[in-house]
Amino acid sequence: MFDQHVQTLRGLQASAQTTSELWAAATELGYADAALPELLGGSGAEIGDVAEIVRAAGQVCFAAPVGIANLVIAPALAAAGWTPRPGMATIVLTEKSKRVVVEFGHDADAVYTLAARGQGSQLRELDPTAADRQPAGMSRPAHAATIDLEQLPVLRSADLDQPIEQWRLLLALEAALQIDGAIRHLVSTTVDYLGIRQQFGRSLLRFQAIQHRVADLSSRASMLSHILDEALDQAEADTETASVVAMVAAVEAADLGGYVVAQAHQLHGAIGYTQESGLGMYSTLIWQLIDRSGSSLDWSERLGSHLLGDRDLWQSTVPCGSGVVPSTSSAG
Amino acid sequence: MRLEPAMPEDVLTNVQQARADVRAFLDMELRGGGFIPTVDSWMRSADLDFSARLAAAGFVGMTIPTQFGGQGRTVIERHVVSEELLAAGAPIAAHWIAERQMAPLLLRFGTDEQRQRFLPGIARGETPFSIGMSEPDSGSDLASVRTRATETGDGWILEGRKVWTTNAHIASVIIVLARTDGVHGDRHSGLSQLAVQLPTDGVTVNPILAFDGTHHFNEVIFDGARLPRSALVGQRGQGWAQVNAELSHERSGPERFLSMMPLLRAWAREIDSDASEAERAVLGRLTARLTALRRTSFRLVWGLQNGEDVARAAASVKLQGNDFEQDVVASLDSLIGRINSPSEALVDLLDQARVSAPAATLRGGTSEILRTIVAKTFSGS
Repeated sequence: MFDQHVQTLRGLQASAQTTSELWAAATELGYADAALPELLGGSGAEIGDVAEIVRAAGQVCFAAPVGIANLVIAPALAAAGWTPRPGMATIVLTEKSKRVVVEFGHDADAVYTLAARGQGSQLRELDPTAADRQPAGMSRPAHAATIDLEQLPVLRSADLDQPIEQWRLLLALEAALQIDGAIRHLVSTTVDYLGIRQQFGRSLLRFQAIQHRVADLSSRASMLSHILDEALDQAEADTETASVVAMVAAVEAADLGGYVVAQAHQLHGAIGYTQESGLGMYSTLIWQLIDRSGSSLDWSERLGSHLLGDRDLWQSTVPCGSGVVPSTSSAG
Repeated sequence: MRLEPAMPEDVLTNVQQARADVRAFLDMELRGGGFIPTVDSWMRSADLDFSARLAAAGFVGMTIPTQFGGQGRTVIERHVVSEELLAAGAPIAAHWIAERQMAPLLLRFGTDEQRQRFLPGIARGETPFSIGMSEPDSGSDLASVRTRATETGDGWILEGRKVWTTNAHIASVIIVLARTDGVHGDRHSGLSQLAVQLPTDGVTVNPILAFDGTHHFNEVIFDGARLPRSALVGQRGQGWAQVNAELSHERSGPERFLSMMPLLRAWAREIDSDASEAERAVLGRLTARLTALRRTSFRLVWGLQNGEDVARAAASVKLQGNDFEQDVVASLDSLIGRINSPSEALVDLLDQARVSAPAATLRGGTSEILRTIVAKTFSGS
């Protein structure tokens, strides 16, 4: 299914002329509301299936918010008891309401915000129709916009029981899945390029210095998929370990994302710097995902704070499994 | 859907039970003063009494078939038990090499007589093994070894010199990589493995002391040592292939990223709830990387158990594990000064770790060699 999603999303992206067209095409194929129960018009996909879509979106650098629509907006609206409005929505978690960078803010029909409120959180829907949407900056995707949220009319507001940290983690997990897809693309295309590009009479991949860089790149990149699989397993089991593993995924994704972008640029040489190469598109995607969801330092601090306490580090992060009791013979 | 199939439920249950059981054993040992945790315990901390107790509790020889005195359990169960032993810093060096790779070698390539001779002792934690591979002129380039086994009427005569032979001074057996056929320049072709039981006339073991004064490395000199014909392990001339089969077991092991876990664990216990942002960030970052390594390694061992060729994947995990271990030491070294009155135990662990750290990217395959192996996945060779 993953490969199929990659092909489909890539095809949609190649045909659409605008973000709105792309969103409409994605919606028609069920990508916008895959996580919604069938009763509400979605396909009732499980989190693992939705994760495949998000990874595929990252792999093709998909310029419409299928990931956050399914993994963050849908559950937020469900928690508020709101019916989704037609059109493309985006969401931003913010402690400040002045000028913020809003992913997909350039063309969004609705902007949702999540902020801390007491022990829980507050969801607001803002109307960006008349907003002054400024470009977000050269290092960000074209779909991002800088918007003064204070200037936007509030259409509705709801207090949610879920603490803000839960939404923060969900946004980070969505970003991690996209990063996983994106770095798969980057590693694969980088190796392809190195096999083709020749200097000194042979392909770059024949040089030991290059081989060693590729070895570091691929061995680091391959670990993210494994930890994301575990995060998805734990999410379905809804255990105490789930939040730890999700934070681990957030740390690793942010760290790896920056690293892979830097290595991909180094290995592509000057050609990677051109608009034509497409490498820049993935660079800005990954940088934006890290900005939106938190750097590896941010998540490392959060994870470290979570781990502090009376519990032993090893036993708290490597559980035996609930209900497992040592057999008496092992204790001697 | 996950990108890889999940482990079957019954396998997961057995794995969790094995972990719970060995954890209970270790808790009991620590409460009773059975050992003091060390870093690198699989190399530097040999205690035959502990190995015997561990074996009696069913945690040595786990993958050796019951007909040879083993537990007849799976590779993945042994893996999680190993994780717990390493994380606890338990003194497992006496039986580690024997169980980790010599038992699989004998099971795969040994004769019935060799299996009967050695496996029961390995399963009881009584028969320490050592690996005789590196030589003064042959480190990363093992195919260039010069030690020679010359066939005689009733066996072999062994001549040569091995170095960095871990725990040869306590070993009952050294498995030696030697040339039995061809000439020195033939490289991989003509190499064989021979089991040298100690003591044997003509075999001398001399210590190579580390710069901290500890002794686990040795030089072993073979000067006309006579071995019986039955010393040959596996097929004559196939030593290189056999050694490579062993390396998957060696490189896929959790000791490649858990050797410093006792230090990380002790440090995490001693940083207070008012720990600085720097300490929290380091704790989070190292735990994240450790978790990713554990998960990747677990998947790899599952593949090994199912007969997959994991040589390159094992090299990949070891490569990352090497860097991680040095990162743990460097990070904690830079932060320990912020702890008011660190315990003697923590200070000792850091001392050990500082001395061990340089070896992390050298032993069992240098990071440079590992990068070359991983790169072969892409360069088509």
